[in-house]
Amino acid sequence: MSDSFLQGLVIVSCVVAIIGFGVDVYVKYRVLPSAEELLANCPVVIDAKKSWDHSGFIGRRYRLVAVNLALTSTELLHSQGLVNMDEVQRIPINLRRWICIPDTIALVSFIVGMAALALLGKL
Amino acid sequence: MSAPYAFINAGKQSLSWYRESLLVGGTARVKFDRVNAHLRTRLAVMPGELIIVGDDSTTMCTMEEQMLMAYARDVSQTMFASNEASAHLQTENYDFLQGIMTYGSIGVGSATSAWSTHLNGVQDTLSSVNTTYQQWRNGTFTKDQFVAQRKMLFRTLDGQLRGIGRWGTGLKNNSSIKKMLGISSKRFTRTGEIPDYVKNVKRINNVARNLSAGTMVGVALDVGAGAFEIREACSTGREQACTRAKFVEAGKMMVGLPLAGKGGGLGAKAATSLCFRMAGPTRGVSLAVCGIAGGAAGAWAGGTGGSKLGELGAAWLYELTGDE
Repeated sequence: MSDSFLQGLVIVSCVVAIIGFGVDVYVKYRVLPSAEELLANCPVVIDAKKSWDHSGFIGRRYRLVAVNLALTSTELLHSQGLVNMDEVQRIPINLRRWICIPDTIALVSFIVGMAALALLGKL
Repeated sequence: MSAPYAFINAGKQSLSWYRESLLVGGTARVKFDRVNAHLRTRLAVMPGELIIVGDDSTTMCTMEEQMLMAYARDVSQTMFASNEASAHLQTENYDFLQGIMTYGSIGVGSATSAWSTHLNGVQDTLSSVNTTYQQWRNGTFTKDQFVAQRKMLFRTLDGQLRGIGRWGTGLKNNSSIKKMLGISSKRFTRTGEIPDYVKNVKRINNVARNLSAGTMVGVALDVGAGAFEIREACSTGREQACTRAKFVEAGKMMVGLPLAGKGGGLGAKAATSLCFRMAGPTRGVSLAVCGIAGGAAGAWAGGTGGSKLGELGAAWLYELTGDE
């Protein structure tokens, strides 16, 4: 792989991180409250809301983690009585996408960026 | 006229050694002692302390020297309680520690703000216990009402202080809550206040306040470090270096801070998920604590990696725009 291609990957990774921040703000302030409302009887979501309700922007990240866990580790949490299966199943697909996809894109983009840096010998 | 400057002492060394090796003239010697007044009372200069080399063209202290003296005094006072080993460790690993403080604190700060909420909850319960005792004393409550109310509050407090929930409260693990708070109904009737109540509330409040400041400290450190780098590059007078520093530092912050936040979230999710699988914690506090380690590690990794990505990305963009 040529150096200019790897440099391009690093710049794309930076751009994704910056755009991701904007998406994060939207998800935390518009999508999260709707999801929490729909998961109103899930203990994992209730506890996270209680703990981080007054912690501002960064507190919302941890509330989002709880909702994300409820949607992605449903079986595990259900076995411990931390989620209500009916509520999780009723979550619309577009909310699931907003909550899960940006995190996956950010993680993949970060790994690609770091791999490009490593290949360029700049890490 | 030579500009004054300061440098960081790398290893334990006597002040007289520096005096002999750095200076020659009599005036310079007097000036050296004057600007390094913060070190005069010590036999040796500790690693990490600042040593100032003054402007030897004047015996008076210039504004710049006074500013350096204030910084040096602050550093010495901060390091006063450190021993040589910890001071040496700080100096040797300054960059690494600064990295942890900057990005780690973004993760720790957000996670510990949850702990701060928990501690505030404990504080509220303690306050309600106090109010209940006062109401009973004033005759607002009958004995039955008082006992029922107290039982309910003690149950709440017991739940809040179970296991690791006690951390940061300073309350000892006693067989009963009454013993822990140092209260008995009879003694309260006589004294009118819960012994140690004020002390406990103050202590809990202090811990909660300090913990919740973590995130802001992280962001301020990163922004401060960036601003310092820009000022340093621009003060040399080379316009190209100044513009490049602005590009690079802005890139580091614009990519490093969002990735620190995102890394904190992903780290917290991974750690919480792992905690569920390994130990199966119950609810609330346990969940918050599981997020602390993962959040801090994820934020540090995301912030450090993001900062590097932003630095190089911005440097290449600068070169691209500079070539045109």
